[in-house]
Amino acid sequence: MGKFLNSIFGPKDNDVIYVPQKTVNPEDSKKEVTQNQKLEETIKSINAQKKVDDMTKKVEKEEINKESIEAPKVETKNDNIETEKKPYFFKETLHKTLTILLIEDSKEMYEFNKEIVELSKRAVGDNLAIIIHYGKEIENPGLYYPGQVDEDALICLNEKGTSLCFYDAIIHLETIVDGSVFHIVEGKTKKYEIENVEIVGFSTGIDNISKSTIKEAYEAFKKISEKTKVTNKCFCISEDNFISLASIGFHSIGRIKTNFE
Amino acid sequence: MLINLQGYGHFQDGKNNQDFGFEEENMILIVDGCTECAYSESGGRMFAQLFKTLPEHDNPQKFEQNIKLTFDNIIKWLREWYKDKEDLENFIQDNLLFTIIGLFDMKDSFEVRAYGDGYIFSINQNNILSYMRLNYGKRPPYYAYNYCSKDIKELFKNYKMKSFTFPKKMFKNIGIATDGIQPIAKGIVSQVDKLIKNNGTKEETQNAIIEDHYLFYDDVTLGILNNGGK
Repeated sequence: MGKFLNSIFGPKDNDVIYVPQKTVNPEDSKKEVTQNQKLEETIKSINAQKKVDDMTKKVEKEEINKESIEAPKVETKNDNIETEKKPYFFKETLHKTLTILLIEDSKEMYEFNKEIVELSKRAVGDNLAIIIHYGKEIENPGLYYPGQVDEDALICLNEKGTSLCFYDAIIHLETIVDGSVFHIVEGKTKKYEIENVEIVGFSTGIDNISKSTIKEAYEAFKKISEKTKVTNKCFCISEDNFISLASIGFHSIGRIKTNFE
Repeated sequence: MLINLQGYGHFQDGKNNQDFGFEEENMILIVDGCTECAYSESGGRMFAQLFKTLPEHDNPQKFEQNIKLTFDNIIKWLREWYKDKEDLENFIQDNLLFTIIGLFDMKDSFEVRAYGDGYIFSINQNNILSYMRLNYGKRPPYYAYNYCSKDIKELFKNYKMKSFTFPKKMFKNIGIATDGIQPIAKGIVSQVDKLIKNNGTKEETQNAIIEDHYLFYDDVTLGILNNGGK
C-alpha cells in the first residue's frame, strides 16, 4: 500500500539530486599529456554516452509516471524504479492528514457541483488529498476541481469513461486507507507523514451494478471503521439516501444543501 | 433508554431545558423546542403529554394524524384566550415551535417519523454506528407553522413529514436525538458512541455526557430502544 501511495504522491522528475564528482590534479596532467588527451577523449565519450542514457532514463521515467497516474495499481514495477532514486539532501518531515474524497459522478450529484467544491475545499484545507470518482460510466471526472488546493497533493484516480460503482468504490477506498496511516509520502522538497485519514463522501449510496457484492462492501467498510486514525462522513442529496449510507456504516451523514427550500 | 439533559450553554445563559420526551415499550417520542422562542419548552412539554393520551399514539401510520389532532385541540383552546389572529400567532411563535421525532419498534423494522431538525442514529449489523442529521438551517419546518399566517405557511408548503423505515435485517437498533448531541455525532465525545454500541446503561451514558458537559451548548435528548426492541 505504501508503494501505491508513493506511486501517486512520489517525487517527480524535477527533483534536485546531488551527485558527487571526481577532481583532477593539474601537475599530474602536465607529466602525462598524451595519456591525459586519451583520457579526456574517453571521458568525453563516456559523458556523451551518459547523456544519452540519462535522456533515455528521463523519457522512460516520464512515461512511467504518466502511466502510474492514468492507471493506478496497488503494486507496480514502477515503484521499484522510484525507490532506487533517493534524494541525498535533507527533507523536512511534516505531519499531515490525508483526505480522501469519494465523489459520485451522476447527473443528480452534478447539480450540486458548487456545494461539493465548497465542502471539499473546506475538508481538504492544506491536507494531502486523493479523489476517487465513481459512477456507472464516469462522465465528469472534473466534478470537483482542486482550485486553491496544491495540485501536487491532489490526485484524481479515475478518468473519463472508466467504470466504478458504489460497492466497488468502497473496496477501492479500503485498499487506499489500509496502511496509509503513518506512511511517509516523499514530496519534491518535503516528506509527509500521514497521521490521520479523513474520508469525505459525496454519494447517494445507490449502487449501479457493481462487480463487488454488497457483503464485500460491508466488510470493507467495517475494516475502515475499525481503524482508530480514520474518520469518515458522507454528504448526500436528500434524506432518502440516509438508509443506504447508514447500512454501509458512514459515521456522519448529512445533506449537501442544508437550507430548506 | 431516554436521556434528557440541559445543555451547558443553556445553563450558563439561564435558559430552561427546552427538550422533552417520553419512552414506552415500543416507541419513543422527543420534542426539541426552538432556542429562539421565549417559552418553547412549555409548548413542547404540553404537546408531548397530550399526544401520549391519544389511543393509537404508538401507531406510526397514524403519527401525522395524531400530531394534527393534538395541535388542533391546543389551537382550538387557545382561540378562546386569543381572539385576535395576530395575538394568537405571536403566542404560537413564542410557545409552539418545536421539533417532533417519533421512533416506533415494529415487527420487521424500525420506523422513524420526523417534523423539524434533529438526529437519527443507527447501529448496523456490523455494529457500526451512524448519525444522520436532519438539518434545515436556521429556520426548521416546525409543524406549528401550519397554524400561522399565509406568508409563513407558504415558506413550508413543500415540506412533508420525513418517514424512514430501517429494516431489522440490516440494522440492530435505531435511536433518535435532538441536535444537542452534535458533539457526540461529530466524534468529539467518543465515549458515548461506545456505550450506545455496547448497550450501556442510562446512568453510564448520562455520566459520560456530564463528564464533558461543557462541550454541549444545546440541550441533549437521546432515545434508543432497549436491547434493539423486540
